Amino acid sequence: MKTTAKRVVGILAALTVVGSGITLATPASAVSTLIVWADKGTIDTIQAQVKKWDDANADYSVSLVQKDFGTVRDALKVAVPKGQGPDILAGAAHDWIGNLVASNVLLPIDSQLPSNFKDDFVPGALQAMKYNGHYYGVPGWTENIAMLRNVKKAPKPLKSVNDIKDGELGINYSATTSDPYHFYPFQTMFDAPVFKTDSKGDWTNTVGMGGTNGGNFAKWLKLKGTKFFGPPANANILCDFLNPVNKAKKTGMVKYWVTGAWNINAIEAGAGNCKKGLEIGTGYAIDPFPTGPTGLKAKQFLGIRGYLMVASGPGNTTNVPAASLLMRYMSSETAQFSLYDNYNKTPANAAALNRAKDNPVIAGFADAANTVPMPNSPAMDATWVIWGKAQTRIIQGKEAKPDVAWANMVKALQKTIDKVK
Amino acid sequence: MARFRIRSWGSDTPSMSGILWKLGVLGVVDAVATTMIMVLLGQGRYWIAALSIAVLLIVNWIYLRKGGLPAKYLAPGVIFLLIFQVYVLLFSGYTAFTNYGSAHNGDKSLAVQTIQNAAYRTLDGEDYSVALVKADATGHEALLLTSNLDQRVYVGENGQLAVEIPAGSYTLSPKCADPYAEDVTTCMHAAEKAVGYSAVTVDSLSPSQKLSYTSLRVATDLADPTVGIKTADFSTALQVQATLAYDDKTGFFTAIADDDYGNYVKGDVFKPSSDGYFHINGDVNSAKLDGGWRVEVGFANFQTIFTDVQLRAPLIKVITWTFVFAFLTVLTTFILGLLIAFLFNHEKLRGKKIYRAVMILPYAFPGFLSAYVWVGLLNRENGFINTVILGQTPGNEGNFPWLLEENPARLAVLLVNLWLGFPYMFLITTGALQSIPPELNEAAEIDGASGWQNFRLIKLPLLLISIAPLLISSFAYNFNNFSIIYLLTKGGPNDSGVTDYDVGGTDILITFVYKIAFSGTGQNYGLASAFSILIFFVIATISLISFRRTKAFEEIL
Repeated sequence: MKTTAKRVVGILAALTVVGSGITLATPASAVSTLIVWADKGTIDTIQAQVKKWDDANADYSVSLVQKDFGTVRDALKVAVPKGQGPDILAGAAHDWIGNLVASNVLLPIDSQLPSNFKDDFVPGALQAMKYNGHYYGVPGWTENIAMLRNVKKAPKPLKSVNDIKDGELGINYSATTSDPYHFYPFQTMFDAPVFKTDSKGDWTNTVGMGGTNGGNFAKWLKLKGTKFFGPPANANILCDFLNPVNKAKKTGMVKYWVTGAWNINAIEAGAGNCKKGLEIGTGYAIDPFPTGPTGLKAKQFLGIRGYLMVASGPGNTTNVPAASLLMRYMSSETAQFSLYDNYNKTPANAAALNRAKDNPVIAGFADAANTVPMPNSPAMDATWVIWGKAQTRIIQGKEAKPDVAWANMVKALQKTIDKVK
Repeated sequence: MARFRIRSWGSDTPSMSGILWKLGVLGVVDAVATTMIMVLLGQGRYWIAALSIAVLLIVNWIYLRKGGLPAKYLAPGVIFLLIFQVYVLLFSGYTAFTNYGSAHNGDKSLAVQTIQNAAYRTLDGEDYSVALVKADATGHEALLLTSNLDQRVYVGENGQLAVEIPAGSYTLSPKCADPYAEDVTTCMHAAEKAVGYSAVTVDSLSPSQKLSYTSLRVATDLADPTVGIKTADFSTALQVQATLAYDDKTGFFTAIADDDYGNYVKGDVFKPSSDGYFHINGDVNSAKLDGGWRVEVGFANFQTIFTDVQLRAPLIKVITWTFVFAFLTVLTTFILGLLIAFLFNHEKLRGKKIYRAVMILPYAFPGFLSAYVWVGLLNRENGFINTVILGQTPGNEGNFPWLLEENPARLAVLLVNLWLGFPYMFLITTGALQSIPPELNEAAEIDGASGWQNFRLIKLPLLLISIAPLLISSFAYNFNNFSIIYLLTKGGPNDSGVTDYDVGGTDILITFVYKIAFSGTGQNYGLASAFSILIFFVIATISLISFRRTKAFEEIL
């Protein structure tokens, strides 16, 4: 009898706890939440503008969720099928699009783009958001590389790549997978584009860097080698670019540096044990790439970081109108000029870029640009490692016949792409 | 002494406080589990919810009933075993027979949804700024369209042609049509309501009403139901044309317009195919629609492992290196550990305890930390090993490329693993040595055995009896020693010529599988799972054979 009483007391106690658990589980607010995934750098950049939009739209609250840039795509591919994805992926590189579309995670936004809106951007920027006939996002800011020059060591811009002597060039690349992105201007000096283009000028999935042109580029890479391009994974480029030449100690030899706007802060501020920073104009200049050994013009990749519309899982599209409005805002002149003004992001919005051109750095990179949007097909994603591996072996002199190695790489690449496609 | 007797846990008359404790803990567990179940039900995941309810009931039954003591001890362990081991094993076993991966990452409904989302194209022509309205007379939902081209205003209901509204019969919104226009004085204004139509604010709509507005199609050609003006964001409307129609009953897509890229023509029927895509007539060699789902592919993944020519060379290389790595690691750590154990087991050595403590240090530091420190020490240009121990010039790229070339990297991995692994061998051999009776040693000496004979014929066989199983388990552990490889070299240097697969010089099977599953261009969980199953069989076989053979040692005694 006594035990039964005890049990009843106990069960009642347990039920009370259960009851409080249930109360905790009921949702508290009716405001819809827009979820935006972004990497740390992007969040720092966009949060003030996102907050501004958020404050003006009382019915929505925007939640910025920090994700790792390198793995956010994988996280998205897992979350979306479970209906746990965000509404927007911000700060996404445009060359991710093809891969993400193939993984069922993006939503086309063609019907949200009126024709006059399409004219708001610099050439190629919105086009880069298009894959297989559909737009999947809007451009946020652009990135391209240029030829930086230390004015004190080299007063005049380069005309031809032949004028660069061994040791004068700085370029960042890895010891194993090189960096085809930074080397692409040199490759296009040989007219060996990564993919062939169709009649409309769109990239196809056929590798275009094979043939004689690609072979010639490979031979040139071997000829120049690490004497010309410097050692891989070289952490001293910044100092060697900033410091004056010291022939005895072999430091400060770098006069030209192939890099992008992301290194400007370091150049202007100087770093650690090297000399103080340089100022644009008197200290350093941003030049277009010189012409190739045979006089061909170089092209760089135009990279676009943008806002992609995420498919929120089967049947759930109630947040699309609001997400679309937020994306429109982030692509507007106001927002993009503010991102430039506060964070030095080169606007993809043409009007904002015009206003930003007062800034010599922005103008320098924009004027140095002879760009093609980086392809955004899943094929592009498959390219980097295979392409870079062959490149690095050739530069380091490990291939006796560079043109043959290059041709083999092109063959292997095409096969991989046909599998991905 | 009786005062200090500990009360038996299995006693039939538990104390009041014991019962209260039990009920309290059980109550907390029930509360957490109930919350979880409610959330699951809220998300519509009924199967998992049902399973959780069943587990919860069983747990309550086990702990509230009298007796059944073993179950009370075993229940938590068994539940965690089921969740974290058995389920995971079964799931990877199942995954090995599917094409689960980046392009096949969901079920078919997700793929259908993806295809439907993109099954339209925008047509050239006018586009409009939109206001949502409702017809006063009929209550029908309608779109109030203001042309962005000439600012004329139209109204259109679902399936009807748009009707122009004469100036004066509509009211313009005070706000700019483009909500983010820079210049608010010259911007375009769109109509917000018209005579006979009252305005609807987006914020007042329920999700289903929103859906009904987004699916509203204002016809541009009454004869062609595939084209029309639609809005997706309630601020812009464009002329769109449907390109594919989905039939819920048959589950097929039919092309209702030619593809812009020439992949298919009007009338083509796409049927679900065995490879997890919609293909024309279900023929896997014909054009497919973007949007795949997970399907079972039988033994295709295993077939790839054994027949893919691109995979063969790297795989043979990786397997060979995996065996070499595991074997050499066990051998080197064992020899070094044994030597040091013998040394410090010497009776006349002073300060043994201090030496032993120092020797255990590499084992006591977290392995992750040590590995990262070693990466720094082995740096080619400025690492401690090169610049101080080997006396090479700092900053010189001609220094010994420890982690940057294949064979040096393999050597480095073995050396670092020797550093991390010998204390363990030292510990267990010390223990085993001390358990060998000293009489045997004396007997051997009296019989005139030399030190070497004593070691080789007496001590080593006796040691191996107790240590051999540990050597085998060490081999199995190092066979799958993911962390040391991944932290030191990430499987690199990636310098092994050209293959389709991302494989480096120090990749062992498990890091190779990790790369297939999680890194690079397309994740392929199916293939990776198939690999892990094969790895399991390899290790199981080796362990089985080795344990059989170690029984031979026991016959010495």
